[in-house]
Amino acid sequence: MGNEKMRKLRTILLTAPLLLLVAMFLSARTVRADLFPTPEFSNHPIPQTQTPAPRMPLQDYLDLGYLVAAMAAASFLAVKVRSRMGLFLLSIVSLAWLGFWRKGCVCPIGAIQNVTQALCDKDYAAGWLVIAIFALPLVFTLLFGRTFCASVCPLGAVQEIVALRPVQVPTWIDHALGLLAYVYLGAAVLFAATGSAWIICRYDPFVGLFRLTSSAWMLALSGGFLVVGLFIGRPYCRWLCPYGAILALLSRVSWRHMTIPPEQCVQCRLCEEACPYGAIQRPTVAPPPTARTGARWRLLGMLALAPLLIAAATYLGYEMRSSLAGLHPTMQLAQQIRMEESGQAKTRTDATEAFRATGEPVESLYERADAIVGKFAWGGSILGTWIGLVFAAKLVQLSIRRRRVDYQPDHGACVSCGRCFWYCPEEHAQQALITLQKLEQQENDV
Amino acid sequence: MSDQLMTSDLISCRLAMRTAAVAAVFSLVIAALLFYEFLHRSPYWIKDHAQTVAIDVLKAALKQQPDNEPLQEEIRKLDQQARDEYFRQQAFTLSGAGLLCGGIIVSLVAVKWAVTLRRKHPQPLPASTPQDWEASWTPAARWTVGGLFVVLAATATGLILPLYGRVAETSDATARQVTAASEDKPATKEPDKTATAGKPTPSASAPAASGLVKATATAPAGGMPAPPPEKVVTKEKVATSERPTRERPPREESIREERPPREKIATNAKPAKPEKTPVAVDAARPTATKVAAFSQEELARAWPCFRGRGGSGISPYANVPDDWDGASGKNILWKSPVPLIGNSSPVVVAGHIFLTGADENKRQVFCYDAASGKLLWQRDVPSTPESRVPVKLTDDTGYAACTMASDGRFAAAIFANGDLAAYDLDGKLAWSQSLGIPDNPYGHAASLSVYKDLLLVPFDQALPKAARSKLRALDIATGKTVWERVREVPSSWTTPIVIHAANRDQVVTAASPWIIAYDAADGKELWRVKSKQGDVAPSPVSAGDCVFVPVDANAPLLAIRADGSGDVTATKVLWRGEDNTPDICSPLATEEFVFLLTSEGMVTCYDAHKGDKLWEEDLNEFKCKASPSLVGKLLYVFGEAGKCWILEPSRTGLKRVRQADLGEPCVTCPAFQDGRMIVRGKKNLFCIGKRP
Repeated sequence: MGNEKMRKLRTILLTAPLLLLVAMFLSARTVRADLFPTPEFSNHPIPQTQTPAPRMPLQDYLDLGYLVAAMAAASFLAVKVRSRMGLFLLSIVSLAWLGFWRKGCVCPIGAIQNVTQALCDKDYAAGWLVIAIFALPLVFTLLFGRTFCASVCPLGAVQEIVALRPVQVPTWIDHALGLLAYVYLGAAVLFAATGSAWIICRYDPFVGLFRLTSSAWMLALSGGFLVVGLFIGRPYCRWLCPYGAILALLSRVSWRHMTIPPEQCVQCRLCEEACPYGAIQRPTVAPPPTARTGARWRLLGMLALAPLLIAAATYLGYEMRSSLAGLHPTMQLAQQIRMEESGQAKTRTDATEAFRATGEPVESLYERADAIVGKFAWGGSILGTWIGLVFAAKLVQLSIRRRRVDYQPDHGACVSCGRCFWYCPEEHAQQALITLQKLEQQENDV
Repeated sequence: MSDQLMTSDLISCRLAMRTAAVAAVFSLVIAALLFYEFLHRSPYWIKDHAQTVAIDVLKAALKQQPDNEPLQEEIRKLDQQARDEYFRQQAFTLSGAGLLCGGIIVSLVAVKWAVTLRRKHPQPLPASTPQDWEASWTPAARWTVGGLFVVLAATATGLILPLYGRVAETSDATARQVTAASEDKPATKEPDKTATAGKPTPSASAPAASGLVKATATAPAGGMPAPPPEKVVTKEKVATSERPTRERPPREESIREERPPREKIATNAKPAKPEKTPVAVDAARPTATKVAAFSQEELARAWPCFRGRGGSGISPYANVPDDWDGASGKNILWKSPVPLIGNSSPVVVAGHIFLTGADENKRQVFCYDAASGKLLWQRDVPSTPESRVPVKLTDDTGYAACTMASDGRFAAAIFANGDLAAYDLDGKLAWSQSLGIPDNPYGHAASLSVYKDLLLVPFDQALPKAARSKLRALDIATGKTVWERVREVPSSWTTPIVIHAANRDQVVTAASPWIIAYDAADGKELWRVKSKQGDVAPSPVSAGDCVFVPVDANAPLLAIRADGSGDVTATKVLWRGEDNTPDICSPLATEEFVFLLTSEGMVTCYDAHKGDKLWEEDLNEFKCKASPSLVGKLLYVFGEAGKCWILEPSRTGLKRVRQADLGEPCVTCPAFQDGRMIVRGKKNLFCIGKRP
């Protein structure tokens, strides 16, 4: 088949998934809120509602076992064996098990909220499995870098699979957008700590895909991420994943980490465009003497700006307490009650009817809502401080020049996917060496 | 070797592409089938399904023939078919989604495999000099990070700022709801807490009305600017009428008796407890600029407007003497002359007693010390040249018929010529307005009310079509109009009451022919009931969620459930009492009874729930203009001559306990304090209490 025809066929086949995703969105079941109406006869037997049996403990052990085994395998494949194929196949298995079989829940990303709420709410306890799912990837990251992201996380796996023609995102955009993950992390912790909402789960872009059902807009979000993921590698992982934000911090101080060349970098530049995630750092040169003074002043300026940023963000976080508190169900109920009583809402909702049926005075509800706003005053301030700190730290980091002589992965951003192995001639040389040795051995045997 | 590898890669690549093609075609087919299914499945499929139409028809027929078994079987069969179809579609969709997903995954994996096999090594051009790679992007990165921070900050500001526009309104309204209702609770549910050791507890039938607590508001709701005082005065004649009104005879001079100073009642010296910031469900917490002057304890002790909190006439104290004699001084703690005549009843707040007096030439506000009866100050109320015009009115009404109202910080007064003013407790004028001389045949006699920091000013006049009748809510501290409602009613002489019913703070007004309730916070009309036409003088009263409105002597007493919306004449009038409805005196209601008092001395008792007339008792030519009061279980009925019947009502009848004598005519309603009763006679202000 000629190259031109191959190119056309490849183009068609690449665009076909787009169409299929659109069709999938249209065809997937959208949940209807209306229940199937029950017959109105008094003597018609209504089947009893059945609840599914609870999950067997064995299944929890299996899931945990798979998690440990998969992370160990991913670490082994990324750091020791350096097998891109192995990592890719493992990610497919993880997608099947942790994604479609477990339907994406419980995952370490969402477990952030479990752990947070368990720490802040005395009436909530996170199960041992959830804590293990949360903690184990952190441990492995401290040891071997973000190997969890490489082949174990189902969200990363699905993005890894659809990254067919990833383009390089300019580094300066990449660094800025990467801060959104920290903002998302802070917001998720705040809302979980106050018992408002689990926004990570609520806005998980791929859970509808894993469960083959969701609301229309969530399916659209899934489709959108997948479509974007065709051309931009791992958009959720790089710019939104709150767990990835934590892993990025831990990975910077990991004991071992995947490297681009197996041993020594020869600065051949072949891996410059290898990483679709912008995680390869190039060697740096010393700045000219004329630029050093400016660099120092710039660094001092950023350091001086840092407390202002933190203070401004803290203030804004405090002032946003009511907006943030609006996500809390008690606040929403109080607002709805007030709108009904002031005539702004013409009809009552099920929630307000249920509240009124409890007999609790409205003033008591308002007082509880008031207390929630008070909580968010503190929480919003802390969130603002966190965001200010993150931005300040990034600006300082961007003002510090680090000396590098080799091409190396950015330990925070690198997800240890192994795509860069193939681009490295040292890697080829090492494999070729192994192959040559085998040939020599065979010849000797003969 | 390398050629073999290349050939192998090419074969694998072709295999991958073919696999991807097959998977893609498979997925397309599945997607098409699902899409077709989607198009033919409407959102409420069961309603559009032909079977459903048939089911509905059959169900309608079944209602006519409920025992038709073949019909029931037919419906069951169709229903079963509909359910089978529904679950079939569900299963089809689930299977299709799974297959589609699998096909897409296979296609993607295969394409990825092919892409991997076809990838080529990069061929970067040799760099002549080492490049400062970081310098090429870090400045842009810093600016982008800074820009992102600005975007986030702007987003946060954008979320915060609009809320401030609604903060005062939201917080105001919510604060009024929260604080008013929460402070109602001690009075209604925990009356004992207001009492200290040795002091009797307040009456358990204290009304559930609010309106005395000052909210921590920064701005009036809606930010409505205060309209300029109405200075245009009409010189229309006030029509006189032979119909008797509340008679407020002019006071005569008397000798003030010296009394030893009594221990001062707890004043408003305690710093106000800062109120909880209101809910503000959709707004940030406003900065409090006003601090409530009344604590809950003081609120329970106050008598801030006509007939006390909620206009109930029920004393919060049961330890008031039930025997006194003005001539001998028995249980008369002090008696102070009132400088100017007037028919307004006393109000008592924070150890201060407020009265008004007026004649053709001047209007004055008086403030007495509740402990000693000493006149602390008297002030001339400012007027305009237009309002100084003599007003035609009946002698029964007078110029100072309207009782004052106070929120504990300011006391406001209104007079027959429309002059309205507010003073602080020290007598400093806070503000004054002239509303214009009302077009009122008998003279303006509707008293002021308070709801938290709002002064409620009823001003009904003229005919309905003139649309001059209004109910205003002014900020009592500044006089600015917070809200105002035009009422389609003619002149009336009733005082609006503030109640808390159906989880709402309501202002209930009575006029002809409409009884209208407004939201106390923003004046929004909540409900209305149509009654008969007439001259409405008795004010409404409430107990629980019910309002009792006598309207007129020729109209029945209406018992209205105050939880409706709109015109509830047909739905919320629980019962009507036809007998002995009063013409002047306002009724008195408890959870159990409703007492009516006519100006001829007929006392009638209705069952508050069912509306049954339990009994009636004629007090034998006992002419009254003052509305009855309840102290513990005793009714106090002041006659025009100054005698007071102490009556003990029960379900079966009325027992006359005794008759006390003030010693001078009295047409006003008493105010109650702990162990004391403040009564305004024709000439003097009396304090009745047990002498040590």
